[in-house]
Amino acid sequence: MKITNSEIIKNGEKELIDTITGDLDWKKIENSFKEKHHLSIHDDIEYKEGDLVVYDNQVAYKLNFDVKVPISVLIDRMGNFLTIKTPIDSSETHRPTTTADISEPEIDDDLEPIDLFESISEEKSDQASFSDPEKGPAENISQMASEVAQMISEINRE
Amino acid sequence: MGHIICIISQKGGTGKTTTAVNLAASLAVFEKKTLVIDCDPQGNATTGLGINKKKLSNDLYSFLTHKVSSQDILSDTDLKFLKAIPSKYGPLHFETNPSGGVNIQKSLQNLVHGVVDQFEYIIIDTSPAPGALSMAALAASEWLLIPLQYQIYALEGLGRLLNRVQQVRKTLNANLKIGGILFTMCDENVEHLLAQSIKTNSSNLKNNIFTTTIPYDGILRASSDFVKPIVLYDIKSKGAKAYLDLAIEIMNMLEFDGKKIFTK
Repeated sequence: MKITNSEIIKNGEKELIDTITGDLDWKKIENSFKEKHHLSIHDDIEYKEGDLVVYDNQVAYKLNFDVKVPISVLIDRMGNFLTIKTPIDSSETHRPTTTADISEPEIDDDLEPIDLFESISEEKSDQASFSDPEKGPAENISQMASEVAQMISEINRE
Repeated sequence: MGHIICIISQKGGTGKTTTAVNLAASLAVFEKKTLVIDCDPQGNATTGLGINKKKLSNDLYSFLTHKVSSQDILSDTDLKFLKAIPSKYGPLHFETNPSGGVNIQKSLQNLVHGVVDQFEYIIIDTSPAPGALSMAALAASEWLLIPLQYQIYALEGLGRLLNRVQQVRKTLNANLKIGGILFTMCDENVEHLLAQSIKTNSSNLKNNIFTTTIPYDGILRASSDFVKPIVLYDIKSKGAKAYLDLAIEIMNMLEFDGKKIFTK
């Protein structure tokens, strides 16, 4: 039973993340980063995305930035700094961020889930079927339908 | 051994969950033992089957994280031949933290292999996001059913999805095949360019499209508001008839190699 418009929630969350991002004290973040990783943050900082996550059994706002290395800054709901994470930290601690009491997850020695997932997640955009704005809709659709048919035929034939 | 059908599309709002719920319910009406596995972290298929999430003590996430057995998470529905493995937001953790070290692919495959002999059809509903759980669903399935609307955007999204399927076949599941494309939310009074193109195109795309199409039907929406499959809400509606026809088409395709044993 839907009782409110999901767009309102989505927009509200986006506004919230944008407001928090705009109000960050970068001096303190830089100092913390330097202390933890012995690395300095340079000026070229690009905001990537933000998300609501669960960290250490509490709701947190995860803000991702691109600097010289990508980092995640975690802040609790009171605005207090929690931690900064780099991809190195994440790969060292493969733990689900959840409040639930989770038993230790199974890790298959034969597979590396992260590498597997990432390798499959890469789009082979050169092979994808795209519309061409210079062509008319009928021509575009006809060409894309042919490409898609070819791909399905290859998949089902193999 | 059951047929494992994954309902997937990388575009949102194409009718994946509606199809998962109503195709499964229609197969159950034909007394086919059917299981829905709700692999969409939003758990809408769970709701659509009339399962009260508040009363669930375990869900798909509980199994994938090794807290319970597969039998502990099987839920009954209002249809005798239809059961479900529900979700109530737990799997969202896998989508937000795909590199969490859990071998989701292996866990989901274990789940499916553990129950596949108990059912004739297993229908897996997925999220449009190409996250870890959707990948695991592809790895655990035999057939893909791809709901699409008659839109050029749909064809672009389909190309990307097929690239992904090719990758999955190479790395995770060589047996994965395309069962077919299902056109949904069709307006009977408008013939779209895509439909015309498919009819006249010399390519064999039409061979990969289900002859059944799902019409736009307000009763389908109403049935989801009342958290019931449409066959339990209004079996005489055109939406219900379309999903019963689709079930017949799929039974003929998978059980009788395309011969029209069951008739519409």
